[in-house]
Formats: sequence, C-alpha cells, structure tokens
Amino acid sequence: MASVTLENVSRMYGAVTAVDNVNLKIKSGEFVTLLGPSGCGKTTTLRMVAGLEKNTGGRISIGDNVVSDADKGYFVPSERRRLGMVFQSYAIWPHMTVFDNVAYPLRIRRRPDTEIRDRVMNALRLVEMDQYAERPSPALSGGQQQRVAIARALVFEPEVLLLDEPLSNLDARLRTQMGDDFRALQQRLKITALYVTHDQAEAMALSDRVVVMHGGRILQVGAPEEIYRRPENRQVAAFFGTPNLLNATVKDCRPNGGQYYKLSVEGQGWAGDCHAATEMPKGADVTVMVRPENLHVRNAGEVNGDLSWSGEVSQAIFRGSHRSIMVKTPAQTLHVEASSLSHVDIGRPVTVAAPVEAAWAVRN
Amino acid sequence: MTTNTSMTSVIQKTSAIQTWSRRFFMAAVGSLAISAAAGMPAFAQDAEWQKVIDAGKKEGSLVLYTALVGQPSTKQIAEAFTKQYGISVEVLEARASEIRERVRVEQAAGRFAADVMFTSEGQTMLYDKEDKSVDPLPVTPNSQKIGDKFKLKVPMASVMTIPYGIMINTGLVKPADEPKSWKDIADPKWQGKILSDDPRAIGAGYLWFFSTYDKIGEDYVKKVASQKLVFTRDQRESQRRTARGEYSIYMPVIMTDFSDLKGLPVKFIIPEEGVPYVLYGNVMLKKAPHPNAAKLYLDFMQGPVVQKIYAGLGYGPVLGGMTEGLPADVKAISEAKLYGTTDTTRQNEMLAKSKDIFK
Amino acid sequence: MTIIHNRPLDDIAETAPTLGGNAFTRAFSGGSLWRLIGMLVLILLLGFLTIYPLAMLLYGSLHSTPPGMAGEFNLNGYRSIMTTQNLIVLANTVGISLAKTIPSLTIAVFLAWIVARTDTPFRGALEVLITLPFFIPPILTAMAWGMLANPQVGVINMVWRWATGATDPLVNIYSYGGVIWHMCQYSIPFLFLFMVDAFRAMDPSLEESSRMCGASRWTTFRKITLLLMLPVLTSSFMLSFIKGIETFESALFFGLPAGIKVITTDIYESINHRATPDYQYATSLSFAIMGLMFLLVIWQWWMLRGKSFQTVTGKGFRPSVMELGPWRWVTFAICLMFFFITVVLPIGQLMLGSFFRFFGFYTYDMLTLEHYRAVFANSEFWRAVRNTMMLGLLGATATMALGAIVAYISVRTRWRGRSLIDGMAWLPWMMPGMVLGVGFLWAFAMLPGPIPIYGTVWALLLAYIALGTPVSVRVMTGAYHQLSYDLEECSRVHGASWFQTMWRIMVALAWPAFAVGWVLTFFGIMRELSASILLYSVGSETLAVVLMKLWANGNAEQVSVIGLMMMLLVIVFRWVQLSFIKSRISKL
Repeated sequence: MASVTLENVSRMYGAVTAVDNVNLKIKSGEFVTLLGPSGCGKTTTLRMVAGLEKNTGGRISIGDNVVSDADKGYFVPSERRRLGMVFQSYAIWPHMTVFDNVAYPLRIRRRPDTEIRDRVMNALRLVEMDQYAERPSPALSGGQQQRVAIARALVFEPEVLLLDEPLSNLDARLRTQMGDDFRALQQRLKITALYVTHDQAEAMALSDRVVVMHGGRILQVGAPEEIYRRPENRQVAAFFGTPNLLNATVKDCRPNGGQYYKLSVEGQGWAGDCHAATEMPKGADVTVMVRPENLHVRNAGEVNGDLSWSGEVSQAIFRGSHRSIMVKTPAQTLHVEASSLSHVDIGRPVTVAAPVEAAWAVRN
Repeated sequence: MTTNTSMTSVIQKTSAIQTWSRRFFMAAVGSLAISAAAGMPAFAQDAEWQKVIDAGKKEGSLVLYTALVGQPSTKQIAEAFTKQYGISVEVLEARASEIRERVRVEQAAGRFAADVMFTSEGQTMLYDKEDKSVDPLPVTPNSQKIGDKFKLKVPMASVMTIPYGIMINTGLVKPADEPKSWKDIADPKWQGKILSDDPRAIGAGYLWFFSTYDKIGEDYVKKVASQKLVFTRDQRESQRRTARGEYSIYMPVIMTDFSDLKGLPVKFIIPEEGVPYVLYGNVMLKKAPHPNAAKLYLDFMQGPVVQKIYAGLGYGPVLGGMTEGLPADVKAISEAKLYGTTDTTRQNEMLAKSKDIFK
Repeated sequence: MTIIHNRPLDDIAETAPTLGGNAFTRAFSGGSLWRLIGMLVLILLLGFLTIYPLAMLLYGSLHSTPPGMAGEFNLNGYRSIMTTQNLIVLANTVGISLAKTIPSLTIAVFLAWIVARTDTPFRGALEVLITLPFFIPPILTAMAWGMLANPQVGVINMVWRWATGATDPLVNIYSYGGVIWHMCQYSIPFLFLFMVDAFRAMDPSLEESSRMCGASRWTTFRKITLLLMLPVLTSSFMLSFIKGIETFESALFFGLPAGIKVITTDIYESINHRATPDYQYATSLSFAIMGLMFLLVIWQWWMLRGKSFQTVTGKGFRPSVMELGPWRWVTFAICLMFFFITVVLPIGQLMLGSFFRFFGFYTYDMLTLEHYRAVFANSEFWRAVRNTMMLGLLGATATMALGAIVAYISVRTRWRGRSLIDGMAWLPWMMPGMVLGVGFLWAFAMLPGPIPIYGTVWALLLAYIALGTPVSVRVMTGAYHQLSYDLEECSRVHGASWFQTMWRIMVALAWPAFAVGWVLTFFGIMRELSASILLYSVGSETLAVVLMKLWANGNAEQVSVIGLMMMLLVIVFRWVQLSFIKSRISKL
C-alpha cells in the first residue's frame, strides 16, 4: 500500500476553478475522506488522483512516484497507476457475470487462469459474494453490486483504493452496515483509501481523517472527532449537523494549560466560558458553537454548568432516539437534543446549560 | 486458317482499287487503315497475318470490355475464340457510359488494361473524337468481306445490328387490329395503350424518334406524342409488363428478345418500314497490352463463326449469307430491313427536339 | 489529539517523490503525442476515403472536362444548375423525401417500441421478419409492386374490382404515392434496425420514474422515451431523409411513367442518357445538394450539444418490458399486418414467381425449377458470391471498426478535431451513389502509378468502407451516447488501456448496435452497384454486378432467386446474432 500526496493541486475548467491549490498527504494504510457539499471539488480531486482528470496545476504522487505533474507536462494514465476504484454508480459492466467483472483487472494484466480464479474467489469471499460468482451482474441488488464493485477494486491489490460516494445509492440501513463492513475490511487489509462523500455521518464513522472541502479548497483536515468538536471556522462548524452558533465578544483569553485557550465570552443576554484553538484578543467577535446534544434543559434558574441561557420552550419534537427541543432565548432560539424520555411543556420557562468543553469558539 | 486462299484474293482485289486514293482516305476510311501489306503479293499478306496470329498466341490472353451487358453470347463467342486460337478472353461488362468513363480514366492515368471494346457506332465516335482512346483499325482478312454499308468512317469493326420493332399483347390486340408499321402507331385507337421507351433520353425510344423523325417527319412524331404514351426506361421489365396486360403495345422493342419470351401472349412485329437499329462492333483501344490478340479477336468477330452465332439469335449480321438454314421467325428478324440509326453528331439537337415534342 | 492547522503539507513524504520512467516514457506519458498521432492517422484515412474522392468530384464540377482531359476551370456547371426547373425539382425531391421519412420514422419508432419494450407475442420472430424487404434489391421489390399495384392488371386492383365491382383501380403504384411507398419499403426496416437496440438498451426506471411522477403512458413515451432517444432519432431522421433525396430507383421505376422528376433522376440522366456524360453538371448539382444536406448535420449538432443521453448506467437494470395485457394482441396484429403488407405481398410474389417460367404467369405448365438450376450452375455467380462474401466480411468488419473509433472519439472524448472526423464520416452519405462511384473511379485511377489500388479488389474494399462509414458511425454514435462514462472509466482505472477498454467494454456493451451496423454494412456492400461497376476488375465481379447483368438480360426470375437467397442469408445472420445476444442478454 502506498501513500498519496497532493501538492498545490488545482483544476481549472476554462475560467472556473474547481479545485484550488489543494495540499494533502494520505499516509500508507490511512483512510481519508473528502467531505463537502456537492460542487466543492471533492470528486474532481478524487478523479485527478485516479487519472480520470488532468490537474491543471500542481503535482500528484502515489507512493514514491509522481503520477502527474502539471508544470512538467507529465501524466501517467489511469491504467498505469495501479488503483482500485469504486464508482458512485458501481459501474458494474452489465454484459459480464459477477466473476467476469471481478476478474477484469486480472485478465487485463494477463494473469494465469488459476491465479485469476483463486484471487477472484478470494476477493468475492472477502465481500461475502462468493456464492454469486456466476450470476449475471445486473441481476444483483444494490448492496450486492456495491460489494462486487469493492471486490473488483481490491482484487489485484491496488496501491490505493478510491471510492466515489459508494454508499449513496443504498438505503439508510444498508448504508450503515456496508460502511461498517467496509471499514473493518479496510483496517484488516491496511489499504490506503481515499473516500469521497457528502454524508458527514459516513465520513466520521469510516475515516482516520476527514478533509472538509468547500469551493474547491480544503477548509480543514483532521480526525473526525477533532473536526466535529473543534472546527477551525464557522463553515466547518456548520457543516456537521445543526449546531447552535452564537455570536459573542471575547472578554478574556488565557491558556488553559492544555493545547487550547480558555475564553470568557459575552453574548446577548448570556455570558460564560468556552474553548478556542488560538489566542483571541479581547473584544474580538467570535462564533461560539454548541452542539445540540451537549445542551441540557434544566428548570428555570437551575444553573449547573459553565454556560447557560434562560428562555422558554417553543417547540418539542419526538424523534424516536431523542427529542428535539427549541428554546427561545434572548440571544437566539437554541436547538437542544434531549433524551426522548424527558418531557417538556411548550411555553415553560427553562434554563439551557452546557459544559465548558462543549462550547467551541471560532473567529468570525 | 482454312479460308486462306480465298481471303488473299479478296485482299488483293481491294488493295488494287485503293492504291491510288489510299493516301487521301486513309484517315477517314478506318476499315482500310494502315496496312503495310497493301499492294504486296499474296504470300506476303499471308505471312503478315500469320505473324499476327503467332504474336497473338504468344500474348496468350485478351481483355475485352463490353457495353452489351448480360448477353450470354459474349461468353459463347469468347469460348469459341479461345478454342480457335488458344487465347483466353477476360470480359468486363458495364453499361455504355460507365465503361466509357472507365476506359477514358484508365488511359488518362496511364493504366492500359483493356484491348478491345465492344460498343456501338455512336459511342465509338465519342471514344475516337472526344476521348481519343481508340487506335485506327487494322486491316484483317475478314474486315474486307463485310457488307459495304458496315464499313465505317469511325474506327469500329462492325459486328452486328440490334433491330428494334413493335411488340403487342395478343390477348389485348386482335389479329385484325395489329399494327403493321410505325405509321400505325399513330392511330388514335391506341391512345393510352402504348408503353414506350423514353424518347427523351439516349436509348431505344430515342432511336425510334430519330429514325422516324428523319424518315416520316415531324408531324408523325407529334401525332404519336399525342397518344398519351407512358414512358419507361427498362426494356426487359417493360416487355413483361406488356405481356402481363398492362399495355397493348410496347415500342420499340429489341426484336431479338422474342426467343426469351416464348410462351407469353406477345407478338413481335417487324414494321413495314423496317427496323431502326444500333450497329455494334469492336474498337482497338490505345496501347492495348495484347495488340495482336486484339487484332485476331476483331477479325474473328467478323468471321462466319461469330456472324452465325449472332444471326442465329436474330441480330443482323454484317457478313452475307449467314442466315441460311435458320428457323423462319429468326431469319425474318435477322434479315429485317434496316430502317435507320442515330447520328451522334446531331445528338444534342435531336434530344432537345424530342424533349420539346414529348414534354 | 492534536489540532491540525491547514498548513501546506505539514506531514508530507519522508522521501521526496520522483518522476517515474525515463525521459522518453515521460514525453509520451500524457498520451497526448500518441493521441495526436492517432488522430492524424484517422484524419488521413478518412480524408483518403471521403475527402479525396470528393475533391476529385469538386474538380470535376469546376473544370470543363473530367480529370485527365485538357480543359479549363469555370463555373459553368454551377451556372447551369441554377434554373427554375431545377428549383422545382429540388422542392419536389425534398417533398418526396419528407413525405417518406416522417411516416417511416413514426412507424419504425412504433414498431421498435413494440418489439423492444412490450410483451407482444412472437416479437423475436417479428423483429427479424419485418426487416426483410430491406435486404432485397430494390429493383425486385419494384417489380413485385409493379405487378401488385399497377392500375390495369395489378393483383390488388383485380381483387378490388372483383370484390366491389368497381371499374376504377384502388391503387396506382405509378404515382407519387407509389414512389413514396416503395421508398418506405426500405426506410422503415432500416430505421427500425437502426433504433431497436437503442430502445432495448434503455433503463426502464427512467420511464418508470416518469410514470410515478404522474405522467401517462403516452406522455412518458413522448417526453421521456423519445427525448432520451434524441441522438438516435435525429441520426435516423437525417440518414433516412438524405437517403430519400438520393434514392432514384423508386423515382425511376414508378415516377418516370407519371412524369415525376427528382434530382437524382436528373443526375442519372446527365450521366447516362446524354450524348456525352455531363459530369460537370452532375457533380455541380450533387455538391449543391450536399451543401444543403450539411445544414442538416449542423442542425443535429446544435440540437444535441451539451445534453446527456446516457440510459445505460453502471447500476444495472432489469430490462423489463411493458405488460400490455390483452392489448398485446392488438400490437401483435399491427405487426402482423405490417408484415403481411410489406413483406408477404412483395416477397411472396418473388418467391412464387421464382418457381414459374415467367413472373405473373402462374399456370401449371409454367412450373419450373430452371431458374434455380440456372443460378446454381452459373460459375460466374459462385465466383461473385465468393468475392462478395470476402469483401463483405472484411469490409463490414473494417467499416464497423472504423465507425466505432470515429463515433467513440466524437461522442466520448473532448479531443480537438473530433467534430472534423465526425463531419468527414458524414460526407459519403451526402453524395448520390452514382456520382460518388465516379469519384472513387477518378480518385483511385488517378493515384500515382506505383499505388496499385485501381483494378484490384482493394479499390472495391476501400470504396465500400467509405460508403459504409456514415451508417457505422451513426449506429455506434447512437449506442455510445447511451453508455455512462463510469463503465469506461472504471475499466481504465482498473488497468485496461484505451484499446482494451474500447474492445472489452465499449464494443462489448454496444455489441447489439455493432452487430446491426455490421449487418447493414454487409448487405450494403452486397447491394452496392454504382461504385462496384466502375471499380471491379476482370475476375473480381461482385454479386451486384452479376445481378445487374442478369437483370439487363431479362432474367428477372434468376435475379429473384438470388434475391431470395440473400434474404435467407439475412435471416441466418440475424438469427445467429440475436440468439448470440440472447445468450448474453438472458443474463440481463
């Protein structure tokens, strides 16, 4: 397995910049996800790694080999990059059986028949599709097709596995299960994987690191938890779930002894402490992000945390796994995810509280 | 070479007559063109021709282009020729305009593939005058014997005439009503009942138009034009259509086709005035790869073997005495009085006239 | 847990990446040089096949004499075609062609839909049978229809008179209607063959989703099915319309007696029925028509630009057919009626006639097998069959390969020059056959002496490839428009080169279209006469030349025998092809 390095990679379509100066290093055996809304350049980036698009700027290397260098006019075509790829549509060739589909990369490389048989069956076993080998491929269900696509991508032990939204065509339950299976497989085989998705939950569940992209640029690279809990800016913060983003002003800033800084902030009708990645000058405008699941609804006046807001319940929706509660406060309406067992009455005055670790400030 | 003795005497006689005027007429009178042997003693003639035969046999093969498409006789003649001289014949057939363009282009490109071209008198004039793709005719033993009217100004060794007449459907036309002559066609009772080859384009219809216009007159042609003729361009299919009863009369019909239609309710009529005809013959193409074999072929086609084959099919032979012993119906057609043919030099004028009359 | 700042490459490679390979492989690595060379070869090849003969014709139209003769350059040809009469003839021609193309396309679409998308019974057999007339030489169907529908003694009119006591004929084939009808005999099967696989290859979910959105069956058909078929439909329309302008057998056979003139009969006349063939006039007129036709091609480009018509995706689908319930017997009846009128009537006539001494005289004493005997005993016929088979197999395969490549480049790449080759591949279709034949003659004969193409079978082969390319490119273009890019990219990523991908994925997936194109091209070669007669050499007669000779000698019955044998061959080919496809598609 090999690493993948992107240095200042750009892709222009005429005057439009689809990917803008992306730098990224994927370590050998690492699972990295490109995450972002559609049109953010994530798929283009993946396709440039695959060699299906030519980067107009920068350099891409797989392992120790440069595969594309725009300045030197150097470009290794897809078929010589030793990649495996799973397409969004699976791209299962309808005129071949499951076996033929999976055997394709080996046949192209003229491997002996016995080796082909062994490796194809191994790959199919890996995705638990060995009993379907002789099936005509279009007769498979979506999940089965996806497995075949993965088997095909893995069969000749590629340097890097590329996946373009491979789960997006599956229903929600299958998606989770396939995702988990795939993550287990990836870890077992120690494959370098570059994964594209617009689904944050998927990205977090699968990846070693997540690359958040927007408008062709990388906003942030980090482990899922980091990105989720400590986004670098408001855009990244807003991308995951529906966080409460509150405007505030910095009153005080001091190191908290760890890696970040502790801020005292004041917003409209509330004040309290939170964490931030960098030092902020006093009086700076910041956005404080508090995730709904980290907020707690207390009886009015009952303060038991570092941050609190008073207001009244404006809406409560039962969602099965939890209850979404909207609390109208002077600052703004806060979204709270409470236990589905909790019971609140609309219009009741309450206090909403959060621990200091749950509040994260980013500069506006 | 059984006819050698009689042949030489004919040549001697002809050359004696022509000695003085040869120089003047040589260019025009192609049938008597360059023959170094003219005026020489008989044995020299013989020897000359024997040389041609030897050289031709050495060449071993001959490439014949023919504008007479699909005729089984072509193969029959080629086989007879091969039998006599041991020279194989390769035949390439295509319609007149196609084969002419092929020859023209081949010669322009310096690809001299063909030796002999079997075509009509009118086409020969074009080959000669416009394309300049034809060599002057050699004098061969048989070329002297053909009827005088078939000795042409253009360099074509005449072989036979194709006669055109009238065909009727015997189911639709009572014997008493049968047209006997070209003039009868103008009878108003045939209005809307005549299928005619299109006289506005080169072909059989135009041949009829040309000869009757010249010999009977414009009024006659105009009268026929008012008969509401239905035009076609496909000779054989039109014969069948008439046989099936779509029309009472088809004209002008290729008379020799009568034998192919035996058993059908049709009758081929030789008009009293005579049959318009097309004269077919061979031309020597420039830079022929097998010039001697070509000369032998030209001679062979004018000889009794081939002449009898054609006469037996109803074509008009150019050599006398060929119709002896033929069945009466064939004989009548083969011997039918020749009425007239077209003149290439007046083609544009006459086509325009035809288009004007037959709208 | 560390905070990762968006610093450039903070943890990049321990070892600096290196450029792989040597300088040479690097120079070619982008594939751009190879691509350039490939493109250049393709342009040169197409140029030789299409532009070169046309250039010779263009010379012919601008020069007072054809190539190889002294003369001068002038515009007399173009001046002489600018007549009011020609304008009327042109309008007439366009009118006839539209009048045959529109109903043909409608019927063909309907039939293709029935055969490919519904559960009509026996649709497999119908698929082969309703296309049969296309493979019969036009002269034979013309003869058959002449016998069936002439106003005097045509079978249909006789039956009509007998049944109704009327004195007037019901139909007259020697009329505008007859000309158009005879053309339809060819364009409906052609269009049907051209489109049926496009219909079959469509993902039903595209239609189903429309139904789910509340659209009726008919609206779905119009708004989804037909629109998705737009590349195929526009291609078909153009091929058929242009062919309609150029066909002349129908007009010559049925139009002439009724005084109907079309452009091609005018061209035919100027070459074949004038004192001297007027090539300057014929070529000028052809180029004028060609110019008009090219506007159509541009219209199609404009129509299709920037749209996607991918109906075959990598997700796989079950090509289910629509269940019509009792209505399937109605569609079956419609197909059967079509089959009876367009196939049984004319071909039955030919088949019947081939066992009698003369067509149309069906009495007991005229029964004979002599036509079959004559054909089988004809050594020239067998030689022509061998030649034609060889040329057909080689030519059709080469043509389809070329067509597949050209179509691929023009549809699926953004290479520079793709529109050029696409346009070049159209050219031979826009030149009337008999004029183009002359173009090939001039082109091949006038090559420098050492290039021995003229007078060999290569001349025929090259001409056939050129003549077949427009259809092969159109067929493959339609098929490629339907395939999603993923299927192809996936192959590249998994190690297949461009050529491997082309063969194993693109051709394999477009195989039904490829096979149909192959059959069309093969029989195109079998029937081609205009160029064959000008290019064949002694010993290399083709079947069409032999047919022409037999026809010219009045052996219509023998021509029918051969025509019927050709039809049998079609059935065999199509059966092999369809059952072969079925063995793969049954897995679909």
